[in-house]
Amino acid sequence: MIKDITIGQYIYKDSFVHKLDPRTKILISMFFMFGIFLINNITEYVYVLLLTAMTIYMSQIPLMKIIKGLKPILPLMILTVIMNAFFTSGTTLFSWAFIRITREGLYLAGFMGIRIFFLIIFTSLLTLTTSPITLTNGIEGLLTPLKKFKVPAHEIAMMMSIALRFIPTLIDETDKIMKAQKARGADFESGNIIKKTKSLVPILIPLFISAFTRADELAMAMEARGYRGDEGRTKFKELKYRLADKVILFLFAVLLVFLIIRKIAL
Amino acid sequence: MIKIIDLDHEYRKDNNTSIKTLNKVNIEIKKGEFVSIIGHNGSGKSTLAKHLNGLIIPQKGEVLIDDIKVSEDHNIWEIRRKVGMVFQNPDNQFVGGTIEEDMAFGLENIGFPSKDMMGRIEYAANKVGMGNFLKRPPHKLSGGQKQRSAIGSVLAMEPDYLVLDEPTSMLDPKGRKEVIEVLRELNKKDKMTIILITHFMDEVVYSDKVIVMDMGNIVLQGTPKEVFHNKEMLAQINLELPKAAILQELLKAKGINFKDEVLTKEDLVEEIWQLF
Ligand SMILES: Nc1ncnc2c1ncn2[C@@H]1O[C@H](COP(=O)(O)OP(=O)(O)OP(=O)(O)O)[C@@H](O)[C@H]1O
Ligand SMILES: [Mg+2]
Repeated sequence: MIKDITIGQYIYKDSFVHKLDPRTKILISMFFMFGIFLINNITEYVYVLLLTAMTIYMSQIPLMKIIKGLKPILPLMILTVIMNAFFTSGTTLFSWAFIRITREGLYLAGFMGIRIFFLIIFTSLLTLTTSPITLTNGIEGLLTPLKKFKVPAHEIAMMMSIALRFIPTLIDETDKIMKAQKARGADFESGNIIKKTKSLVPILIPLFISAFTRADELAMAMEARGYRGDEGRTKFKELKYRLADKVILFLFAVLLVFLIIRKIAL
Repeated sequence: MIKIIDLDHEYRKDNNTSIKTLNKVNIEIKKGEFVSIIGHNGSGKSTLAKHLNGLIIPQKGEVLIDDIKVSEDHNIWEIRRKVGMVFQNPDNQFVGGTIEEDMAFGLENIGFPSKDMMGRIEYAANKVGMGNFLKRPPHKLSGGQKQRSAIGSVLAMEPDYLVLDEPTSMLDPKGRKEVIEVLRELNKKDKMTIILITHFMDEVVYSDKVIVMDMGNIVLQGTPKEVFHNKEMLAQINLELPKAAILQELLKAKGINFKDEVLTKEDLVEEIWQLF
């Protein structure tokens, strides 16, 4: 059961979106996140819908995969919509006992729902079209200019990629330890929360001990292969902004600047 | 050529006690040799191996790799390029998310030009028979495959010496065979110098030289034939003979006379059919 957890949800396709530089994808996702909160009329949301649909189409990711990704977020979305609908003051449309729904509340709830919807879809496109390692590379690339301010860009990226690399290994191990403890009569299912939490101790302790051994041995193996931080290091997959990246980044940046100026001006 | 001269090492337990793990060890390994090191648990094999590429700096004595001193700090990176290391646990030496990324890791470290990396990686992967698995993540590989790609990752850096510390001890018989075959082939075809630490006697019989360690001392050194001839000595330090040799001993005890002592299955067959 524990094995079903998948990390990232990267789907390999040979698409235009997949081939974009990870930094481009991270940046436009961030632009999108800001932008989506700066617009508030239906026409513009239609444009956003078109943009999103076009991106999905170009990414060749099956629509079902994206819809599936929305499922876990659904409760959060509903909660936000309800909160906004109930707790916004304005002209009352409908009231019963202590419940009061206002026109403004409905508007806001609707917009919030739409925003979260687009936000999830667009960011999940990022992880669906970018492998975890490429994503890490992208983050490192974006952080690199901050090295001047002592931000350890390379170290952060290295830690992230090692963590990603070891997740399946550690999940496997957890599975094994659980089975071993079950074979000795451990019970993980019954009892209240406190009892259940306590029953995790015999899993966590061996898991931690082995994780430390692993870390120790991995460090030794890395050193043996000449690792010494990012000094004098080259990259297997060099990041490169191609023309398409530049054009897309430019368009998104212009759009965001326009939205911000409009917001301030209004 | 690797020269180990009067090498001593001890692990400090606390202020007063320490364990002596290497005691005046002297070894010479020529280019192109296949050398095996055996000895039971705690005899100092891993400690010795870690001296070969500066993971441990000599406390006393010296290790020379092509006349470069391991004891001098500024040599360390050159030495790590010359001496590749493969460890016991296949999972805990896999750095990349896929085989190609793992093979790239060492190349990135030594500042190898990015555009030539893929070529090197393919070359190394083919050497260890993993050319078709470049995009596979480690958790979708068998132990033998993981260990072979670990060897590939080291080969990609084109070392002059390959040190393997019990690379087969966590593998099933099939994985073990795969790894040993890769090593023998590298030694024969590419004249790669191989230093194999193992506790499987059957892996030792093909080497040019066997070194037997016990309590930090080298107790025997020579060709497999010479070493396994010292049966009492080996029994004393709890080391077995190769399977074929054990079988031959049992047959001898039954009163069968052989011309020669054997180490491999093939040699034993050869002896037996000449008996009658
Ligand atoms: N980091 C350490 N700190 C303290 N003592 C250690 C350390 N590593 C090894 N030792 C001790 O040094 C001795 C030699 O260890 P070493 O790992 O070299 O043996 P080995 O021949 O490789 O054994 P094995 O077959 O179990 O791998 C052992 O008694 C061990 O307990
Ligand atoms: Mg050892």
